[in-house]
Amino acid sequence: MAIPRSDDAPGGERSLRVGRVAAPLRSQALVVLRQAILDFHYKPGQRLIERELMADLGVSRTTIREVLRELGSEGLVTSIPQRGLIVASPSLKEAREVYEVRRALEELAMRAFIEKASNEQMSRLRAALTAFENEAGEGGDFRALLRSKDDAYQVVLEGGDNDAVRTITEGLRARVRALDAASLGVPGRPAAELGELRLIVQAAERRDAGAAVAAVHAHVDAASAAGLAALQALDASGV
Amino acid sequence: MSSPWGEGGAPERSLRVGRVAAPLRSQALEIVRTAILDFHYEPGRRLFERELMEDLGVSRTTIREVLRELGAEGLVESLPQGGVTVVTPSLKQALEVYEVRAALEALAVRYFAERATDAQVAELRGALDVFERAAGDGGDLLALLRSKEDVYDIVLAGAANGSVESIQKGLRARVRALDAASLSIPGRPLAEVAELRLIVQAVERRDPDGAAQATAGHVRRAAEAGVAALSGGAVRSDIVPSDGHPTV
Repeated sequence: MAIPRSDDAPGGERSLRVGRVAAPLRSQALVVLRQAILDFHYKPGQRLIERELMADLGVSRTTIREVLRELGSEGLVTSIPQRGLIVASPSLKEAREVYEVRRALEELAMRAFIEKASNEQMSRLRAALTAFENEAGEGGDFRALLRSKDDAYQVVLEGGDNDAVRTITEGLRARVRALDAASLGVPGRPAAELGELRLIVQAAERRDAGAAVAAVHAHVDAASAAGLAALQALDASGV
Repeated sequence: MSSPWGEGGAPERSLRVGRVAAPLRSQALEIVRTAILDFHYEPGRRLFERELMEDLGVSRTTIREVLRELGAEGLVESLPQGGVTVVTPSLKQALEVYEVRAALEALAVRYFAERATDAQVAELRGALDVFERAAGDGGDLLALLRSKEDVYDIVLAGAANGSVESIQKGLRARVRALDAASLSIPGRPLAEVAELRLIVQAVERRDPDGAAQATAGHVRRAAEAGVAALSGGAVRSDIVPSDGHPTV
């Protein structure tokens, strides 16, 4: 997935240039770079070179270093002897561990959502599912597909109203996001995932915590199997 | 002082960074983190860069980096008017953290029951005995808290999931003052011993469901006690006396 550099993208959408607004540059640069990693503008295993990042984002070396340190603590960037900083690409063991934890946290998030979500939040969850459905078929936009899934998570995490669950789940998702994306690229997986998500949303709409949690478990288990298979394929191809 | 903090030879209250090979920043981070966790810098206390520079003997740049890192860990927060304070979690935040801990601690205990070696199970039993003795003789609160954390650490190591381990340790740090408050309630340490014993017994039977259930119940009761103590204002005044060293 080759993505043009900011200067050949007149549409603006892909520009990584940090805007000159009031928020501290460092926070803005952090948000921009984090999103660029999550969107595979910088791919897992890719080297991150300070000079290039300075040019891409239009900020100082000091800011870039601080941002990289922060992304390191989030697990998105890792340092490799002889190679410098690279976009993290989880080991099979780490990925397995992350999926084990997600199973427990997503159960917690779903229980909280069913207990506390407003009807408006419930409709937003349904809308995210519909968006996922629209992009899951032939000719759908892959990024829009990923984004609709993000929207679904965001609604559930907001509706559950537990900051600890929200921040930890978001951190864990970021760490295996490359795998989630790779697994959604496997033929047939978007349709299967749609079926899993639909079961979750239907149970949530009935406010049936037992069924929703069972559906969440089934979904995380399937996503985990697909993600780990994708990681093994990635490793085998020597990326 | 020739011995750096990491070897246990430093006087407990000295915060001075030793001149050893590890980057100063990591050393300073570890020292300030420990000072917060041991209530040397108590919840709500304002941290001044100049004071930290003097306490630790490192540069302002290093202190700023350390404070930023501790901010990311949720141990300090920036004040709107500038400067930082040691975080005092709100009741809502504390309850949220305990909810996650209950779920993840239950997960860790489940994996421990499934995966731990017999030697690790024996180690867990031994750590529980140590905690029981500490609870029985009403020793100092920090020692009691540490011996309980040793029990948890063995569970996290035996559960063999690095993600659970790092998340749990981070969450524990954020509500440590509340854990201390909970343990300071008369009768609570011995009640905890009984709760933990149920968990260890289930683990010894290699009963993951029973162990997970006992764990969820234990964390819930610990949370209730902590919240009761927090509502009673015990965290600031009773647990953390002015010299920063908590006592029962």
